[in-house]
Amino acid sequence: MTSRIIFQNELETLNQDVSTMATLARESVGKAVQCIVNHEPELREEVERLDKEIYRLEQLIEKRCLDIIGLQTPVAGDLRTISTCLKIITDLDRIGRYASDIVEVYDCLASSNGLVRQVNIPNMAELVTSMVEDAVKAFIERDPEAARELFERDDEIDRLYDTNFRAVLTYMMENPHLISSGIHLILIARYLERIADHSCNIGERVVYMVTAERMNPKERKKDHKLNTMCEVPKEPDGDSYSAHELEEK
Amino acid sequence: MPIIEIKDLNVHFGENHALKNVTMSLDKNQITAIIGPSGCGKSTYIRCINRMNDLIPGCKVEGEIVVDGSNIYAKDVDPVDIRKKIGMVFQKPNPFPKSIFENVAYAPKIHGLVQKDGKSKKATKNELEETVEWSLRRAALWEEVKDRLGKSAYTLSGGQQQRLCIARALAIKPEIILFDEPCSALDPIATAKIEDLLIDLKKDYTVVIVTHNMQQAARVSDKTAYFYIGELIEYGITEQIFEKPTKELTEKYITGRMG
Repeated sequence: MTSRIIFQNELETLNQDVSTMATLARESVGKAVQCIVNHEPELREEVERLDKEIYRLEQLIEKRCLDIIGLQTPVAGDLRTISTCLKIITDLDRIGRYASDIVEVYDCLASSNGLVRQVNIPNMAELVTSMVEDAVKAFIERDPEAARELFERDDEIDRLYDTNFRAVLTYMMENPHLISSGIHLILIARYLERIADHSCNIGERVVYMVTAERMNPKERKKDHKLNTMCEVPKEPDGDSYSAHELEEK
Repeated sequence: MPIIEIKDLNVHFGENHALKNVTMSLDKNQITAIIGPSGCGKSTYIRCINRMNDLIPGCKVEGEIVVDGSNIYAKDVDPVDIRKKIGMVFQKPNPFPKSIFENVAYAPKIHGLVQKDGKSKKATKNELEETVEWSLRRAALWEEVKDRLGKSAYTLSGGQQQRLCIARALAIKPEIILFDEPCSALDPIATAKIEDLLIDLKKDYTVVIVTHNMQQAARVSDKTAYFYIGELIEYGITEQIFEKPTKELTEKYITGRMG
């Protein structure tokens, strides 16, 4: 006979809420991208509405998690699930915020003369949207392999960001009238790059939730543009590791 | 470093096969928690370690328990000597109907004081007083009882009585202390005191604790063993057991979905 029915129901509700929040975050990124790429300003309000709803869900889910920890003393897989929920709602909230930031700069792009398309923002946006989608899917389906794959695509996003950055810089140097919209485009590229990072964070937590393994920083970051620009902290040796090995690491 | 090595331990109570081929080693100066649902053999297991099951009619123990290099089930071994080396604290505090002082002094009076070379000698009055004070201090009870050592042990609260039983076990300087659900009859404050005490004791002793309280096992122990219907299902580092047990049965039990 299954015991702890109330606890089981609470976990199920939590899972549904996080899945809903994740779906809304995915939707907000999709609509924000649609807004700037296809010039659909009417979507701005929708993205703002989604942002508010995502924030409300974050608060609600955090309360649910704390209640479960306080009242049900979860362990093992249950505790990993709750800690994952607590962590990824911050990522989902940030994703929602960045979507909102993207539509905020829409007006500033009005005079960009199609710069959005020229610097390959649509391609980057498409890739980022698919990463958010797959991160959400990996969480819902508890799929650590799908979660690990996100990291390879993040390297691609980093490269695209770098390319776009240089391209916009060139356009701005050639035509100073484009400086304002160019800066806003760089901001959008930056927001998209951050959204991809948050998708990877979600992926990392899904790996932990399912396998109890913590991903090694090496797995996370294979090729990053900032490597050449700042000191990279020394990475621990070996592959992924479990929590009880953390102190030794 | 292992202090206790258990090899192919089987215990029968008449027809009932209570422990089945248990093999495991317990490390020195560590706390090992034994968990599992009622009737899984936890208490039977812990009572094998100081041969308490010998007292139960119809009980048959097979296999080896090697403590400090010698098998405690060898024919020439006196169980009383084993119990001097391996103390035990039970579920319900069970002080003797004597004064607080006499409870702690009882064993050293009978067995003598353990010397550095491991031999015992008859205790003088002063030595006995020193031992009682040392044991009560070690059991974190001295400050609460030092002015009423002559009073009956029954005047103490449940938590104090349990710490008195721990002091009584410590008085003959055992190497290993077995705790069979030591906090199940205590309130949360007394439980917390015993848990702090257990962690303090492991500096000098090896501790084995049977507990029904999963969080207690997670809080105090270094290693955890999960038993189910007489079998050792999983044994490993406590953090690992409570974060990612390798066996589904263990996960079901510790998450409260079984047992």
